[in-house]
Amino acid sequence: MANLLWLQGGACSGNTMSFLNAEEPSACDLVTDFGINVLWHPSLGVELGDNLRRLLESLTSGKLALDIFVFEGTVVNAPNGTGEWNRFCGRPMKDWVKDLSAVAGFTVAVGDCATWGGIPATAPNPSDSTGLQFLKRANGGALGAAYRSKAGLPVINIPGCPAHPDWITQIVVAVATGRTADITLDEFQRPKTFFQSFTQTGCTRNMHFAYKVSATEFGQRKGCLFYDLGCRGPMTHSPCNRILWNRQSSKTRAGMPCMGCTEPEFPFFDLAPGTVFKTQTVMGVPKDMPSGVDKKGYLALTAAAKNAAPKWAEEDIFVV
Amino acid sequence: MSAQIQTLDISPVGRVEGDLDVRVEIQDGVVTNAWTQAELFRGFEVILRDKDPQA
Repeated sequence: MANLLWLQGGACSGNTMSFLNAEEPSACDLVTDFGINVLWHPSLGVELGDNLRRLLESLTSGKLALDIFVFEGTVVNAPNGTGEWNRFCGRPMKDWVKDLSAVAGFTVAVGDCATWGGIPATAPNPSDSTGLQFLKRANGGALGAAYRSKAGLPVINIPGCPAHPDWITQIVVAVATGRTADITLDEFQRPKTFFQSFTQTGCTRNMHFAYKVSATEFGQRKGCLFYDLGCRGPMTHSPCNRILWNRQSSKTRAGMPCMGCTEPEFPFFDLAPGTVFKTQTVMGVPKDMPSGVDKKGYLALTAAAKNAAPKWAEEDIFVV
Repeated sequence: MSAQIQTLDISPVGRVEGDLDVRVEIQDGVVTNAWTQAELFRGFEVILRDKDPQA
């Protein structure tokens, strides 16, 4: 039996909605099959007011074991470092986060807000928000770079806007069943099993990427979304085209550019006008290259691709 | 002489999106006054300033 507590800070509940749609395993499977005892969750918890406060205090005092602490949303520090802009259960949420993290066996950040700050931390970051252990790329965040949970791990980051439901439930199961040795984390503390490959890995438009045939509008079935529409699939770490959404699709499969939401910089370019859904280029060359490709290599690749591109690549091959 | 006013502070109210607190005053078993208080401000309005709605 593993006790799990889920709290929300500067959040929109998007990761909760995602979590409740999990299928492999489902949120119910966590309880019935994997021995997870959900102590409280903002959408599911029964306790209100003082009853919840007593529950939280029994965790912070060590009377009740907190095996898994899941946090969704940013840690709000405004105004002036007090955290008063996000109060919960009679005190600033940031104080609960600090006290609960100190007693947690494992601390899991779910979604971009809890991992790196996400949308609320977009400039000018009015709520002075941070993620649990990062702010964008900078290690530190609310808990500090040196933070380790009782099990000796840093915060396990499951980014995404929202995170895919099965990334959440599979990591929770791995933690609850003592299989954390199987989880290796990358430099941003993301489980490598999900975040070492790219969004482009498994993309159905890879032939169009290879021949540099560009999609010119959303929903088009031919063409690659990288060249004009700002798709970040080649440089974003996620399994969105391996572990499909609703078990059947992904942004790029539906003709929507990847926005890079599993990376610390999301939303990219602070959503400045002209940067969204538009590939940023210098002299016709993308500013952000596919991971590991340099400008010289890119020019050679695309010149060869254009020369080789077959006629069918410009047509809709999905019409029978 | 009127009955004493009993105050009830509920922080938080559960199963709502965003953190919400409620304070009610009860007199003779009847709620005579009630307040809700939003406990989260993220400042999206500030973030959205100068952003292009057409992206």
